[in-house]
Amino acid sequence: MSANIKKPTVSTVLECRHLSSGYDDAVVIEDINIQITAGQIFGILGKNGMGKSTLLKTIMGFLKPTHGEITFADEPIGGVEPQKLAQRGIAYIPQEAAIFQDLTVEENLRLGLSNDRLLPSGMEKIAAYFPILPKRRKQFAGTLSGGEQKMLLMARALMSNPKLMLVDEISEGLQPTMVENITKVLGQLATNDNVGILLVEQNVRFVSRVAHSVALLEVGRIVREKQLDDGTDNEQALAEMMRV
Amino acid sequence: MLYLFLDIITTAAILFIVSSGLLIIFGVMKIINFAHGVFLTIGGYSSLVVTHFDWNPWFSMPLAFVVGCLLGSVIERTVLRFLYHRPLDAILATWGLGIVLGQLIIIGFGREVQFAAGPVSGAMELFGDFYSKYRLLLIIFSVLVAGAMWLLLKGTRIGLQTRAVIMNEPLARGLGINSSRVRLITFSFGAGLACLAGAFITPLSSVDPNMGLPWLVSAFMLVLVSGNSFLALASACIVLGGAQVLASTYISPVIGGLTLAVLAALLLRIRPKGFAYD
Amino acid sequence: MTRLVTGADANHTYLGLPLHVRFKAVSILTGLALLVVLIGPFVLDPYTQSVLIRAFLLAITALTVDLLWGTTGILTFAQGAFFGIGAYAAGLMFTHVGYTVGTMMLALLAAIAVSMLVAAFVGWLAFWQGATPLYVAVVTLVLPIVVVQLIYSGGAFTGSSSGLVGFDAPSLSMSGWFWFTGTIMVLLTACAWVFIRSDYGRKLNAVRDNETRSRYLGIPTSNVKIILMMFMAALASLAGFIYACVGTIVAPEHADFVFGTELVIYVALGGRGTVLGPVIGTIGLEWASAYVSSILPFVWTIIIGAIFVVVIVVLPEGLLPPIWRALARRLPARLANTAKSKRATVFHPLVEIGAKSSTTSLTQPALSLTSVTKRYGHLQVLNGIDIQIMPGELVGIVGPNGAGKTTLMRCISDGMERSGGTIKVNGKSIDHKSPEGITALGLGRSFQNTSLFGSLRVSECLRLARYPHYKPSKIDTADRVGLPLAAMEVLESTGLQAQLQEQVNNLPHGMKRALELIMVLSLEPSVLLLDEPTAGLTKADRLMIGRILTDLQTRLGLAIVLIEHDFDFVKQVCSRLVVLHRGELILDGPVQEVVNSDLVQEIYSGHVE
Repeated sequence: MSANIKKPTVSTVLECRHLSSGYDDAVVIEDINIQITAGQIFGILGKNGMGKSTLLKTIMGFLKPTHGEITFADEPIGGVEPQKLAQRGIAYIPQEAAIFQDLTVEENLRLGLSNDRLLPSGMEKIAAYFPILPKRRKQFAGTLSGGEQKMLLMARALMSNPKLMLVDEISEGLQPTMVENITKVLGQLATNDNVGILLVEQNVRFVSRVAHSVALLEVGRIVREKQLDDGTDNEQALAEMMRV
Repeated sequence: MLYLFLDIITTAAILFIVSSGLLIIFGVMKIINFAHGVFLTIGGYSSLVVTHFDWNPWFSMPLAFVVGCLLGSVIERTVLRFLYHRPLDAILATWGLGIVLGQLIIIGFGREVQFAAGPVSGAMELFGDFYSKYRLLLIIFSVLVAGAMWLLLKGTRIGLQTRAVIMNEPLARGLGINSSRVRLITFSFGAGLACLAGAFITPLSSVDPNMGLPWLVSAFMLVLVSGNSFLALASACIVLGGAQVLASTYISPVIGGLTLAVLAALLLRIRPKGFAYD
Repeated sequence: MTRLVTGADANHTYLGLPLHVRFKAVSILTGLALLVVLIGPFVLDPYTQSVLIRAFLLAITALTVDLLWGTTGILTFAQGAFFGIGAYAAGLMFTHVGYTVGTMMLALLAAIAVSMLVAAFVGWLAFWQGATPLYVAVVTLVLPIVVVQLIYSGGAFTGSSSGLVGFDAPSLSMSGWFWFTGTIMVLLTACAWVFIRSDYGRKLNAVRDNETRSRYLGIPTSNVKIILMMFMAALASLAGFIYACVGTIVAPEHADFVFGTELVIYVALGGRGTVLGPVIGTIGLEWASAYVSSILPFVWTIIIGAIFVVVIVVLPEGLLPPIWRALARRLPARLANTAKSKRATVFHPLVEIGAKSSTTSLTQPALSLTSVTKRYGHLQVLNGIDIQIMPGELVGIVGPNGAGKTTLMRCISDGMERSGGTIKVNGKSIDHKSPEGITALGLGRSFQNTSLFGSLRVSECLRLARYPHYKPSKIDTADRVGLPLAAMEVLESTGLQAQLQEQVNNLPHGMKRALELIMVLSLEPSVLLLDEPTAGLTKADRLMIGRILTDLQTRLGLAIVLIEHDFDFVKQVCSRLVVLHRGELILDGPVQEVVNSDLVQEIYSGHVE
């Protein structure tokens, strides 16, 4: 159940209109229309190969859209370089190879900042959500456990004070308690910091508890959408939607 | 025995200095800069310029470094930038640039072998034997260079960004790092380092338009067996450099000249990672 | 008309015309070139003749670089070294033993033998599975250095840095040498030109464009490269030998890597892969250099160097191709059309010659895996996979990302990949066979990212896929090629038959996938491995692929294994489903059962623990 989620404010953080993209001339996603407002958590459910990662990569500028537009905070961003988007306030958490294994926790976190001087205040902020990380700051990121590495990912994204977060299957391979923690963090980010979050997932239970709205991505297209209300059994409804 | 040991250490030191510039470029940009030999030569000619104007010989080192950085940044922006996805063509293009620059040196300074004054000369007495002071100084220089690289890479923000780009460029870009800028800085720095190395090795022998060429291939092979790691480079310099000295001493100088390249090629065939650990 | 090209059987044939009729244009141009060579000594002064003699020999050497680099993708700085070996063979023999026809033949034989041996060694060193192009370039760089150092270490015997001078050699007049070298150069160029357009030339292009795909089509790419290297070494060595005979000087500069790099520069400027470009470019540049460098000694090198850099960055295909294209546009239309029309290959169903013994029996598994494991250091990616697949089964492999599906496919198709366990195709173990070796056992594989030859045409790709079954001609291109029934059917049902002349890069994604499938089927596999065959396809294309696969399974008895994420497709097509999770096989059974199981539902829609 989505707990304590206030009504999100109205300003649109991300909008995709008729967005299509792919590799070479293979069309992987087609005619995607989504709108995310500040403080909203939007979940996209889909099985492997349906285009979830491609969608995020296209928004983040790693792939050029073949059709359609993307706007971020009212500015068109289709095809803009990833580093510029990161500097403008989009935090992207990829599914694979998302941390630098051979850099320390602290170095990984610093890379989320625009300026090293912001490090002390940043560390304070993440300590509140992930108390274990400051203790491990000098450890190499590759030696952290899977769950701790995901925490590091979230913390790094937090450090950059983003307006929009693009999160690719963060719950994959995590213990239920860790998933709980991340649900809480995402919720607080949305509520307290007004961050718009686009969450791409296969994990129905997780999405049902954290997202405000959900869309189902099938073979590159959005086929169903659903507002998640408090109180109803969202997990059951979503599981039906995802049924193989 | 001591002589041999010192020869090995100083040769390793020289190889390390000469190859570091090439390694940092290879690590970040994954291309081999075939103009490296010419940069060494330019460094040598910087020393010549200093000698010509009767300046303090120590000045040749910073001069070489600055000249190298400037030249490197020009080359990166005008030529190299377009060849990142074509690494073999980048080798050819940098070779072509090397030819052009080499010819310009000949036009400017002439073909003859010339000599530049070193900052330190003479021999030092060590355990009853004499050994060239300058060669010993080079050991200190190589440690300084290694130290400076370490400090820059681990201690500065740009160093952190560079390491990130070396490890995973798309991820680095996704975090806001301007990898184009990192490449520009890296190439300029690598070129500067190459020129500096040229200035370092000049007092050992002489200056001529082709002085960088023999070092090019050695540096090239050392970089290939070192992957990304300066530690691996240091190991490679000691092991392969040592083999070179031993072969030169006990077999023949000519065989020694090709020991490094041949051993490196064979090593890579057997263990593609070379000296890199992981 | 006599049949000059033999060795054809009912399945692949070449037009039975005499060579000079088939290659009309080439014959005419070769004749003209020879005429020019003939006239040369009568109109050119001796100095120019000597310059051109040298240029002709360098052109031959540049030709070898082009065949290695432009055609086959091997960047090599070593051809200069082979030239030097040839030159020094002559120099050494004539200096220390003296010149007679006998010693000359001996020296030539020695030169060629040594070159080919060295080339074989260099090839062994460089062309191993996993060598990067950079490593190859490195090895070819080291060879000239070794050769030069050996020359230096030879002291008086080899002349060290001064070289050998003034030895006795075959004496021919300047004109004699001009005609001799000019004729050889023209003939070799003509042969090379025909060669790169032959089926074998296309095979070399395939190795250049996509080595992995070539190996999975059964082409032993390492061997192909080594053999090519050996022959090119022999040619370069011959050129060097003649050079020594003409000039009676040999020096280390004729073998070093600066020379080797010059050759690469000439090829790059002339136009890599075009044969004529490098030859014309080399002759032109050598000629120009001889004159300009006496007037402006240093500037010439700078000009060439600068043009070279510009060409590499901006015009990688070389200087001459754009010029030719501009000229070609001015040709009268009729000539242009004749020049452009390529003989279209006709594909027909294979004609069975004699009884074909089937390698598949109904009781033996087509594919059998026992305790297959794969480790990367401490990371266990596949853990004890056991599976038997019979002919006529269509098995789907599903599982979350990172479960090990593609790794499993790699382990099956490449004998060096797995860390442990046995894999058998049609009862024969794959041991540590290379992809081309396993392809020969009857395995065909398609890739997640369609792996094809972008610059080739559809018909050329299809011919390529049949090379293991007929020896590709080095002169000609087959005009009739037999394809297995399965391949013919897919060719027709997808409509690709109408697009045989189309370049692969221009095909839509669905067609590329179909082409890959046809190429794989052309190998006559009994086991098909398909990695995400429907990725990126439209709904209609998916249905079509589904029908094709079902057909292959039921009518032709192929064993098909596919990795898929599209569950609708899997339900439509597969008879059996296998679930891979975290490197282990956790479910294996009939499609409906597996799809509806709690385990699969949980993996795909719940959390995993």
